[in-house]
Amino acid sequence: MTLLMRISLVLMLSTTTLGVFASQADEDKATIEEIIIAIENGWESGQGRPFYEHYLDHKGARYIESGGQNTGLSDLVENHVEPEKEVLKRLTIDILDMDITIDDDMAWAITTVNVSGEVRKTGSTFDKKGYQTYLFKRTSNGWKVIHSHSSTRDKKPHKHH
Amino acid sequence: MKINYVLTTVLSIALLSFSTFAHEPLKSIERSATHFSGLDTAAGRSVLAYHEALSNGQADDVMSALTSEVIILEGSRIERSAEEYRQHHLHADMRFSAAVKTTTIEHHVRVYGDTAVSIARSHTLGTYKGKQIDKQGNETLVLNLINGHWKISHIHWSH
Repeated sequence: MTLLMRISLVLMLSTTTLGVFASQADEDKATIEEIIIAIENGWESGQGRPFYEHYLDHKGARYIESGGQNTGLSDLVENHVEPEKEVLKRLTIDILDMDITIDDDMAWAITTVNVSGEVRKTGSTFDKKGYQTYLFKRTSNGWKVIHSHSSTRDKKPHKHH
Repeated sequence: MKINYVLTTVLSIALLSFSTFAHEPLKSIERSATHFSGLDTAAGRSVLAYHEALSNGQADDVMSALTSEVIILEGSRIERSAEEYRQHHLHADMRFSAAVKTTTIEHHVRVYGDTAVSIARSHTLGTYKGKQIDKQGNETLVLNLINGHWKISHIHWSH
């Protein structure tokens, strides 16, 4: 085998390996993006299924929304996601931007969102903008959410404290 | 290059790729249901040192706890680097922290390889710029182990 052939072989193998790594990262990001979209749909429809499917049900899990938190997956679904459907006539979450960082078997995503809706009982509406942080862990069953934190504010100019 | 050398090379690369993508079996990630856990880890100590620096107005120590590309979310505001934070909100945050009393209610730090997650809940009481402050706050931090030091790469605050 000539030197040129050896170099070509090494380059070909390196390119292939790098390609595999790149496609794996792209695949991970696409999977995480799909999970986040499914979860947002779960919030909008008041359905617990996407949460049970994509969250890691671990003891001591914390899910934060502005000032409050839910402890554990069943608390999140039964005391937040599902009741919210009863309270709100409409809930719309528009994802404006999504930034996903993958670090081996951990990942975190930040989404920029518009959250709007209407309260069933009073008819009052709200229109907020904010951010969500999702932390993911790669498990034998795929990527699972281990923590989430969202914060929104009414759409008005921000004042420093 | 003999054929077996080529095969060895290909197999080595294939095994390397496989081991990279192979997943550890799911392990329990919760030890107890106490309100404080993981604070004695190196990552936990880094978080506590960061909180202390923020309360004590030690701007250089706060900055050194952050990665340069840190993303900081608070409510509906975002800062996309340590330098942007230093220029915009760092000094206001330090003045606020010095003026009020913040008590940590719950704090958990968990380490997953070279990534750590800190989740804390606190109660802040005091007066700032003539306003009474009495609120509960939440903090999520993501830390990365970089050259042997835990650095904060993401902060999310809300109240």
